Amino acid sequence: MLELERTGAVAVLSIDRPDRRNAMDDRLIGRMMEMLRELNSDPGVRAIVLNGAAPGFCAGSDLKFIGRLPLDATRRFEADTGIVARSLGLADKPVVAAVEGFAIGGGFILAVSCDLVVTSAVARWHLPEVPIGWLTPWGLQALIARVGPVRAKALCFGIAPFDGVEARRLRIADHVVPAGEVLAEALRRAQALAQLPTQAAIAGKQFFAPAIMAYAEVRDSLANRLFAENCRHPTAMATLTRYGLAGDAPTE
Amino acid sequence: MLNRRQIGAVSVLTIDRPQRRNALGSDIMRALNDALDNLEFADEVASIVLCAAPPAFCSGSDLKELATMDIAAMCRHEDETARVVRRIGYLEKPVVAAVEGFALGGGVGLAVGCDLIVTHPECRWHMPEVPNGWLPPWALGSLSARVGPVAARRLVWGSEPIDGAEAHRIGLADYLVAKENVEAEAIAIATRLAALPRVAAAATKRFFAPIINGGAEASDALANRIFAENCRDAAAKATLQRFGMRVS
Repeated sequence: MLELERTGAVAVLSIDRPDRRNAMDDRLIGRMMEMLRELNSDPGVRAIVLNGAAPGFCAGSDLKFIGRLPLDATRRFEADTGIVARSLGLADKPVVAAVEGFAIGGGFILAVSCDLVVTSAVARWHLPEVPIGWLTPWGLQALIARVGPVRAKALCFGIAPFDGVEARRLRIADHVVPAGEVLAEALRRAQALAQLPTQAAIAGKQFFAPAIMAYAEVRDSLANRLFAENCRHPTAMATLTRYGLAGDAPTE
Repeated sequence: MLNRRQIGAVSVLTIDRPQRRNALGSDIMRALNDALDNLEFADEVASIVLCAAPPAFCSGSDLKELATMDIAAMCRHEDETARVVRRIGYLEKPVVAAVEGFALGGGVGLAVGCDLIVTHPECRWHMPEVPNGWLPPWALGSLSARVGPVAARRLVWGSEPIDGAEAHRIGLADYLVAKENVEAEAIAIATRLAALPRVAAAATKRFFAPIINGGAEASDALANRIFAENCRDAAAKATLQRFGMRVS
C-alpha cells in the first residue's frame, strides 16, 4: 500500500496500489500520515522522496472508495487527506515528488504540495474534478503558491490534461526527465538536499513556510464546504454513484 | 468529561474534569473533536457555548499526562490540540466561551479560539509558559487577532497575570459580568446568535475566517518548533523535571 525504502539519508515513500492506479483511500492516508511523522522525527532522515510505484504517481481520491461513503464521511476523508498534504509543507524535511506516468486530481495536488517536483516529459497531469462535478476539496493553496491564483483557477477548471513538459512551463513541476528516469533524478535531487547543512536547510523551509502555507488550512476548510455543496448536485451524484457501484471503476 | 446539553437551538458543551482542573488532556481534545464533527452537521444546533465545570474554565495542558511523554510526543500532542482548537474557527456556527475562575496557558488558547468570550472581573488570565521556559506552542495567531500583536506579545511573556476586568479592557474578553452570571450570559448571547438568519450568520464567520485564521496553522507550526527547541534549554528542563517529565 505504502512502501518505505531507505537510501542513505534519503527515505523513499512509494504509493503502491497498482490495482487502483495508486489512488488514495483512508487506509493509505492514515499510513502516510504516520510514516511522514516518523520520518520527520528521525534524525537519520534528511530528505524524503514521495513516489508512486508503477503505473504512475497517483490517481487522486479513490472514487470507488468515496463513492460508497455517506457525504459526511467523504468530507472527513478529504479533510484528512488535506492535513497530510499540508504536513508536507509544514514539516522540516524537504520532500521531492517523483511523478512518473500520471498525477491526476488529488495526485496532482499531492505532488505540488512537495518542495520539489520532478516529472517525466510524458507524464499526464490533470485536475478532472470540476468536469466530474466538484471543486478540488483540499491543497489548492499549494497550487496557488506555485503558479499564482489566476493560473491555479484556470487549471482547476480542468479543461484538458497536459504533459510534463507543459507542467514545467506552467511552474507546476521543477524538473523534467525522460520517462523511466524520474525516480533516479528525484533521488539525486533528494541526496543533494540531504547533504546541505541540516540547520540551514530547515531554516530555508521554515522561513518560506508562512509565505507558502498561509491560508492553506482556512482555504481547505472552505474548499471542503464547497465540495460538499457540489456533491449534492446531479453531475457529482451521478459520478459518485457510477464509481461507487461499479466493481472495477477507473479512479480519476 | 465533555458533557453536552441542548437549550433551544444552543448546544452547551461543558468540560467536566474538575480533578484535573479541566486540563486539556488527549481524551478531552478527542471528545471536543468528535463534538465539533457532530455539531457541524446537527441541524438543531445554531450556536454553541463552551464552558467548564467549577472550579474554573481551564488550566491548560495536562501536566500529569505530559509527564509520561518525551519532547517529541509532547510536540505531537500539542500539535493535535492546536488543530482541534483551530477547527472551532472553521465551524460555521458561532461559539461563545464562558470563562470563569481562571484561564491558564492553553486555557487562554482555547478561549481565544472561540468567537466570543464572556468573563468576570476577578477571573485570572495568565500564560505561564514563558516563565516556565518555553513559548506557548499554539494559539498565538488567534490571540494576536484579538488583542493585536504588541499586546499579545506582552501577554505571552506572562510576567504580568491579568484579571477579567483588564482582559475585557484590552479586548481579550468581549463581555464582563458578575461571576455567578457568566454561564447564563454566555447562553443568552448564544441564544441571540441562534436567532440570526443561519445563512447570514454562517457567511459572517466564513468571511472573517481567512482574516482571523489565515496564518494560524503555519504560525502554530512555527510555535511548535520553537517550543521544542525551548524545551531543550536549561530553564525549561528544570521546569519539566519539576513536573516529573523525562528530559534528556
